[in-house]
Amino acid sequence: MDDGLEHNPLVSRAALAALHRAAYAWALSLTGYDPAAAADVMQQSYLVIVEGRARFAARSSLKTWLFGVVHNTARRMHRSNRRELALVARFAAEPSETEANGVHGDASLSAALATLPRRQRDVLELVAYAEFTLEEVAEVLGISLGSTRTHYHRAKLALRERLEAP
Amino acid sequence: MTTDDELEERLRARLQDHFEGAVAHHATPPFEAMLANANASAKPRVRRWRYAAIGAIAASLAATVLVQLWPAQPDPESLLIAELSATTYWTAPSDRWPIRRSTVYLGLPQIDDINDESFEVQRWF
Repeated sequence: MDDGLEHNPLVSRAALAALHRAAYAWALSLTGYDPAAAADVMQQSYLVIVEGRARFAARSSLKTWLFGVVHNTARRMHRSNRRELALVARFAAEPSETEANGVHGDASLSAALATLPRRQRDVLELVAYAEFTLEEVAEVLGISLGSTRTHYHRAKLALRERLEAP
Repeated sequence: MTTDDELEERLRARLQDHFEGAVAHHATPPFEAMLANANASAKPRVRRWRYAAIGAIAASLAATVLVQLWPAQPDPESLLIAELSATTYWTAPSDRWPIRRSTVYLGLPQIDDINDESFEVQRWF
């Protein structure tokens, strides 16, 4: 069956489908939990994959690669598209309203997360939710392992402090 | 006593719940539809060898044009071929280009302007 992935022969449709939800969750986080922007990011990411502008060479896991593609796509859209720029810039600087209001459950954690710099939140999310190792997180975000460790360590410390504060 | 690892584990579990809750709040768009959309919008890719072929043709055309436009050889009589001896120092008008032990070919239309005594170049290009 023609799955449109001839430019990425090492990527199977089934493997992509299995990672779709996790990748969408990552796109949501990158766009400040805006579903329309996240869907745009995912759509563009799949286009990049189908056109072979991003090629999986099996140097990392497929999941790491896909998350990296989503991250780069979100960054590119952030730079090039004014609408995304406005959205992402707003959400990157502040927590989304739903997060800040604790709609997603843990209000104190939401508030504490909202005070973290964007990079620290990304690292925390990739480790805690997507279950990446720090090496994989470094690859997804395109930063050094040392920098990733620092972000992770600082994020944990800051979260603990804020959660334990009265 | 709570160890550092336990604290980290608890924090991680809490974060997982939090992020899971945030994602569950939004319906995931269907994968099949997104992939089909991507396939429908994908542009046909021009292969690299095509770029190479186009480049080669363009270079060949440019070379042909250059050869056609290149000026003809100047009239030998209008050229002064000045050969400087190994011991002669010659200084260009700017005094910045001393030339020694060289054979210098100068395209000088006005041979009369050259004085053997002072070897002064009036005009050169």
